[in-house]
Amino acid sequence: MANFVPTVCVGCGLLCDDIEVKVEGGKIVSTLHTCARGEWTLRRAHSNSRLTSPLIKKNGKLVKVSFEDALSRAAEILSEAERPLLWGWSSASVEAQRLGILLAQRLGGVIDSTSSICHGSSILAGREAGFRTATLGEVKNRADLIVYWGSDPSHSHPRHLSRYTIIPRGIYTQMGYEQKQLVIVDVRKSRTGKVANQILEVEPNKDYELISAMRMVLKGKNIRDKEVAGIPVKVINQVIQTWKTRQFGVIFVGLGLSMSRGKYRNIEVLYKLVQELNDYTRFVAIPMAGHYNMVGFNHVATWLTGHPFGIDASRGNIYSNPGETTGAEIIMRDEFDAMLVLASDPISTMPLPIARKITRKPLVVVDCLETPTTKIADVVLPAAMTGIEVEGTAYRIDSVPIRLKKFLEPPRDCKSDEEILSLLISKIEKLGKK
Amino acid sequence: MPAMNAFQIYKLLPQTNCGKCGEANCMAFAVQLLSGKKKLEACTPLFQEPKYADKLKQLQEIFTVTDEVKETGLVFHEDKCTGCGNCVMVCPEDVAASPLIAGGKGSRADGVVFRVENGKAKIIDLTKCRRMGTQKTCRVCEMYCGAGAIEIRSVGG
Repeated sequence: MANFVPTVCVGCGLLCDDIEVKVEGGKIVSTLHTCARGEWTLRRAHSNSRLTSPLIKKNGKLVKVSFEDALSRAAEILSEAERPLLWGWSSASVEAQRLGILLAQRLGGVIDSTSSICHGSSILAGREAGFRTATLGEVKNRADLIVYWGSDPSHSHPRHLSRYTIIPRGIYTQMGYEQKQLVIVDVRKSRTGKVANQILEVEPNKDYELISAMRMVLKGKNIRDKEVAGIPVKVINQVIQTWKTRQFGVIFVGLGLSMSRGKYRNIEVLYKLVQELNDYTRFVAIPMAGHYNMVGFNHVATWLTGHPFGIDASRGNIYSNPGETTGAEIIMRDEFDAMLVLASDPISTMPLPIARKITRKPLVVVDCLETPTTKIADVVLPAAMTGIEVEGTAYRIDSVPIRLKKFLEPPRDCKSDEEILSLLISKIEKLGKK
Repeated sequence: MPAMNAFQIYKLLPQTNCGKCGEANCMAFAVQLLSGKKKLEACTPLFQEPKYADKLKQLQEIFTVTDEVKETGLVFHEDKCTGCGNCVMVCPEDVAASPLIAGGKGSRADGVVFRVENGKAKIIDLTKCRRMGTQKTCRVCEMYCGAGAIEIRSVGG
């Protein structure tokens, strides 16, 4: 096993930095320590549906053109638009995201990342209630109570359990899994539930009630009901008593909380519970971001514009109002006249009424694989894969920036997201809009 | 095979405490069977007397080592594996092999039972497994496999 090279996986928000890849003749031969999700992500580099040349729609068909032609057409579409929507960004490097925000400002458009339909609500909740967090390293070394609330890492982040939470042995958790306690709060017995010490099966959409009941118990108040959200009050009492006595507790917040009824209010009340538990012991909460650089976009956008997502530059100044300037709502109300999609597939991931509206507007797509979105696009620019064919920086789910490595050469016509965006910006500058 | 205790095995034995197997009584023999120190054949009445035929059949089902089951009783279903690495990080022998594994990172160290390769766990060296020896009760890999890809088809534990 001589020629394995260490690299960073871009399969999910965990950015595992211990994986190794063996490359022979420009192809991945075998990988070490990757989960099924990471393996699939890395092997996409040799996928049959890889985009290798720029495409333009002519008479309803996508035809191969030179990069220069495709770039000019994309620049035309975007600079003719009054309020273009720039969507995607969660699977791009921080450098590309920065240029994306500059492009939105130059065009007077709206830029939004997929976090607005994912974990954006966790950030809004953090603004309301304050945010107590820790890095995953701290979790590994100190945490002896792990709670997955509305998330199932066995599916979304397969190596979460083995790398950071219940299984590894840390500095203050030398006993590993014997010392740690795993609690699952979910609407069903998830796969992670198989290894849990305790499962709280909450009724769907009743998380807010359960958390409020927990806060009441923590404050020493009596609950008169027999059960709250399908969980007996006795169990809630016992859970809070246990949580208070642990050394270090961490709650991993999943989409089950952030996108069920109540949305960011669920997480807000959870953050308040976390703060109140800090009166007794150390307690933190970490949102489980899915895409590998979703957290990165929120950071970049915040340091460039002051808002984490849903940034509207069409009024001449920066404006953000989640629900008004976020991608799905803008598409739903037809408040855009062209769209740039980078590293995302809204046609597959968005609900049908929204997807249908996307098809009616001029669409520029920057992606490395053929997707339903690229099939209906007017211009397709092929991109190289960040973390596989080009370098970049990404933020892990706990906001730790990690440098992504490169171990393959991109196909000839594929450029990095960063390069495509900077060429696009200079092209638009030349066209001179507004 | 579900985990069985000595008492469940004892119920299937003749319960005459004849001592032909060399143990003091049938309960002691059941314990020895579970730990793998004695073979079922040592109990001669079970094979000779036809009234135990039903019990013998059940016992043989439990203790017969099939082709795919090695001495450890560990069966690995590769199609179910998600490569999460829980088995690697939880196995006491793997943890002993490398401090990296103890800390939750992948390692290329030798002498491990499991390693994740190409998105699937792979059995590297089953002779290192604790179940090869007398620690027949260890089944942490089965317990922590969320996908149900590891199954321990053996009694005990």
